[in-house]
Amino acid sequence: MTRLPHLTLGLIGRVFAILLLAVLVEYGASTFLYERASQFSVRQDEAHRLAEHLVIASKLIEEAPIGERNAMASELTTSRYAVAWRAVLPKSPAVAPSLDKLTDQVLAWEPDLDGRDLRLSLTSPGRDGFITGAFRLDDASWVTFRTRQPVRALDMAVSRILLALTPAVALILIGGLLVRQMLRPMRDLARAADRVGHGEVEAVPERGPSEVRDVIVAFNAMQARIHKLIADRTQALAAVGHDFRTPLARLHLRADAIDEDDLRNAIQHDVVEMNQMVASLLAYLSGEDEGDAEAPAAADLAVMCATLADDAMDRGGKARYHGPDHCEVIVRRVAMKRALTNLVDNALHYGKRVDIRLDATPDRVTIAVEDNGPGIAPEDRARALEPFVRLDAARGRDTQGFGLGLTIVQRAVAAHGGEFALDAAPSGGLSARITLPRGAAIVA
Amino acid sequence: MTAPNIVLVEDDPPLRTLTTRALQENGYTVRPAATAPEMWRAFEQGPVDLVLLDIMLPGTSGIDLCRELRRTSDVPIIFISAKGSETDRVVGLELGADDYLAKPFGTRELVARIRAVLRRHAIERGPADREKGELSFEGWTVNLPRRELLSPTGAAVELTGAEFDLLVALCDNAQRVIARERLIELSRTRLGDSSDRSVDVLISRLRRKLSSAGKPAPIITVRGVGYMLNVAVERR
Repeated sequence: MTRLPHLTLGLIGRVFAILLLAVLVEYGASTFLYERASQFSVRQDEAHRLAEHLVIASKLIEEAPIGERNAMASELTTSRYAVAWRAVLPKSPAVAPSLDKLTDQVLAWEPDLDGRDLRLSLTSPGRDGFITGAFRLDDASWVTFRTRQPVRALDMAVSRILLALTPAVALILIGGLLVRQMLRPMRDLARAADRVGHGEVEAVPERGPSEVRDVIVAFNAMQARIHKLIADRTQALAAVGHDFRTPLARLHLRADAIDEDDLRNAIQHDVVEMNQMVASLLAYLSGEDEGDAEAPAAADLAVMCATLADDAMDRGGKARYHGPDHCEVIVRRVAMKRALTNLVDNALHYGKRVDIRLDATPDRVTIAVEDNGPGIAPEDRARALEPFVRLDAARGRDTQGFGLGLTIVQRAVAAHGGEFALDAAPSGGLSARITLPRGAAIVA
Repeated sequence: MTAPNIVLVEDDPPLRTLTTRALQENGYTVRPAATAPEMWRAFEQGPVDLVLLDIMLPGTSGIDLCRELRRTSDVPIIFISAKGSETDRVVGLELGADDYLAKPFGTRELVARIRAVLRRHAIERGPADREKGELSFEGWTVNLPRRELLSPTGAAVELTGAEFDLLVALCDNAQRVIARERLIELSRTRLGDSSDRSVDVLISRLRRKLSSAGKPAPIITVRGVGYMLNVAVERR
């Protein structure tokens, strides 16, 4: 496949890109915050009062001799403004957005202050905001001042805290999303790995950082190999199964020529049994084979159960169907019929009587196949569902087949998104219960 | 009636010999063939009443052969297959085979199937009947080659072999009363597999399976005579 190296960033590259983006966002947000503060303005009369006070202060302090300037400054300190004289301009605090708009307001009212290098800024020692500022006197010394009452304290404080938090929150969100996005191919990979061997080959799309891509490419190749192995095995076994039937047919026809009834019947019985084993093996294999690409369609499960009971009766068994006359469900009909046939055959093999019960609600259908045989001990039930397991000793009778019957049932039910459980029947035998969701998606 | 002529196409030599012998012992004239070309030669040797065709042949597949055969001839065909799955059966029957026999089979089953197919072929009026593969009445659809019944809502409704045959017999004689004895006979000629169940039991089962939404099935009992499907049946 072709790759575009200049488009793929490694994991490290991506982390750097995320950090870079974070820094950019932080920078942008801070700029915005300061920009907003510069637009801060106070009511017109407050600005006028401040301007007048500053003009008076500038004149009085400038006229006072150097030694008395401090005293003059404290005289000028009122309940509103604190004024001080400094020989040099003190450093302004670190976080003190300048108030450009307010400066304009003041200068507009008192143009005398123009040329004095007036600077106003917003400081917030606590949660309250104060206007602080300084201007230059003609002899290059400075007058500093600050308001003694907080300006629009709460409003500004909360909004500034929010503003300060915004970049942090945005950073966390953006960073989290980006990292999540970066690791998504890994999650897809984990999910696909979980499904290998169940159904179709699902190639994981090759995307994400180059390291992850390499893993995905290797994984897809491995997945293909595993599926090919399974398919080859399945095909080989199925071919063997089919090939068995020709010699079985020969044997059957040869046995027909035997005059001795007992011997002939015994051989024919063996042939039938061997054929059933082959059939169950093929049914089991077809579960993973292309063979079961049967499309789900509506089928009347109630009639299917009734017909299975009727068929069993016609073959001399004792079978009864209990339930509604009709119950239409979307299923894979052949697979579902095979599952139910296996259960009914089992029930007739181990018991003398079989009861098929169907119970339908708007969202689920439950089918229970009950017999009056010896049942299966609770501790053996899970094992009974495993392939190639026969519970001969436990069930006390000779078992036919490979021990695939219940496995086939379980797999068919699972493919329909349903549940299969073994239980004790009220009559003492085994109750095999299939629960199917109605209208659920059927797994491929 | 002279012995029916059967062409047997089977690639496994011992099975071919055994099947030939079994058929001969039951009064059939058999011309065995191992491959497709041999089959066409067997056709040139004289009239053929039935073909027994193994699906898995070397070279041409039995399915292709069946399709080719159907193009030129209406001879009854019975597929023999080692596969025996429902899908294979349906494919074979849809291609125009008359029946499908799964390996392994015994002499009795083989002869019964051949007899049933030959008898059915003699009764049916010709190839036109087979092509009309679908019957329908009151929304129900009977697909003959697939042996499938669909409800008015389109759901597959499973019937036993005997029930299906009885339903087809009722459809073939729609809106006419059929005597019980005649029904038994009709349903048996369609399939080798005869059920011991009396027609009355089969009818009651059919009624239950053909009921829909509280409406009873359109099968009525004519006391002392027989039964009748009292709706019109459409053929497609």
